[in-house]
Amino acid sequence: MIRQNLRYILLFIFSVFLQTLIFDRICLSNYVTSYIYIIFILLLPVNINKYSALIYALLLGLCIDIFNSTQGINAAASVLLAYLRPYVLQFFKPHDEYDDNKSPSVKKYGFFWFLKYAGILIFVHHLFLFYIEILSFSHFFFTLVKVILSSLVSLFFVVLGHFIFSKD
Amino acid sequence: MKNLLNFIFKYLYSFVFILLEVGCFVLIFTANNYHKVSFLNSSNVVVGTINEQWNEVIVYFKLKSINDSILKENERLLNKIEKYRKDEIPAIENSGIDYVAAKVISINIGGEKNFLTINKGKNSEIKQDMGVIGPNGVVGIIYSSSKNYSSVMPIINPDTKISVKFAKNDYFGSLYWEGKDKNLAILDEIPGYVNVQVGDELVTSGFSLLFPEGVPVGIVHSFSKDKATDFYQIVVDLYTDFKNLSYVYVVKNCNLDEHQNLVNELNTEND
Repeated sequence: MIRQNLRYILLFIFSVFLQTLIFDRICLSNYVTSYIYIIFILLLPVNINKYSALIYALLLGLCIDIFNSTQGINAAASVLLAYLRPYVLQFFKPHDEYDDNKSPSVKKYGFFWFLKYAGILIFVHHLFLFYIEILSFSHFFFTLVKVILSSLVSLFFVVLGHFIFSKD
Repeated sequence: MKNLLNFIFKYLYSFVFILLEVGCFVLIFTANNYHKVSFLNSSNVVVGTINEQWNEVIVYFKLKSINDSILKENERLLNKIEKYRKDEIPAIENSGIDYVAAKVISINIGGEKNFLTINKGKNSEIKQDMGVIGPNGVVGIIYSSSKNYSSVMPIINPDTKISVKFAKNDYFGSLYWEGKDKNLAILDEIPGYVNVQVGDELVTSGFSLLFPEGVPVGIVHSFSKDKATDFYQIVVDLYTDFKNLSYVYVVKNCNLDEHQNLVNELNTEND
């Protein structure tokens, strides 16, 4: 149990640093800005207390906001992600129930399951984040393309990171 | 009452969620009031130290591009000196402007609300609303500073506006960024009768005292004319390459306080 908590604390720190020190400094194109820090929320144990997940997401978002001087934008988007996660998990419930206090992984529920679960949540997170960032619909289609491309890139890195994290 | 409690309890999760979201949105919409609260942005000591240490590591990979930009800057400055020598302009009297060199320790230019962090702050007498220029041209404006770090709002942030003019004929307007491309900004308020050509150079106007007059900004990339108002909408190709920006100069204008006092006095007289 302690070992698991320690792993999650390390994952938290790792997500913040990976996002702010590496991903935020690489600008691949005007169309792609990937936010991979949400891997922390996606990999929280399936049966984690819903309320504590919201609080962890808030803290994670605020850390990113402080690094980027974005004040609340990432926090708002990650709280939304943590709020929706239990519903998405419920929706994609496998036949043989969840293995409760483990993080969702490809090994347990299959590659396709993980892609659906992570893909939908990442897409909603990016959609919300990019639109509140511009706070208008002035570049509606540009932003939509950006959301889709960035989600795909983020999904790729989240799946990659997930393999590293869930290796025992 | 019992029903109400039951209702709240049933949807407690959603209520907590909405409460947190409202909190976040209050933070987003009041962001401009937090200039002085430097622990809420990247000029905070902890974040600044982490970024600075990390920058020590990655700066080695950028040495070549840093050298190139210094070389180009020297070329530009030498040409300027040469021009003055030919024109035999007498020594310029003290303009009251000091430059403070600073390293860029973090660049977040992935999104719309872009910010840079530099490693100089209040200890070097750097304050909010000072201008920042880079080796190739204008960079942005100081947003917030702590003792040793400051965050900079670059031109490529939707909240930044800079007063610029044409180098050839002094017509001026304000330059802002409307998102999308990291190299292009928009200039408007230029009246339709001005002769605008692609490739015309734009420099700072010097009206705001944030920047000295004549700092290069960019060149005209393309333009169109609004038929209804007869004003140009000019797309400007910025000189500053934000992706590879490694060091900058903060413009410290000693006349800024005096100018500010004068403006305040005028305002109180008018009231």
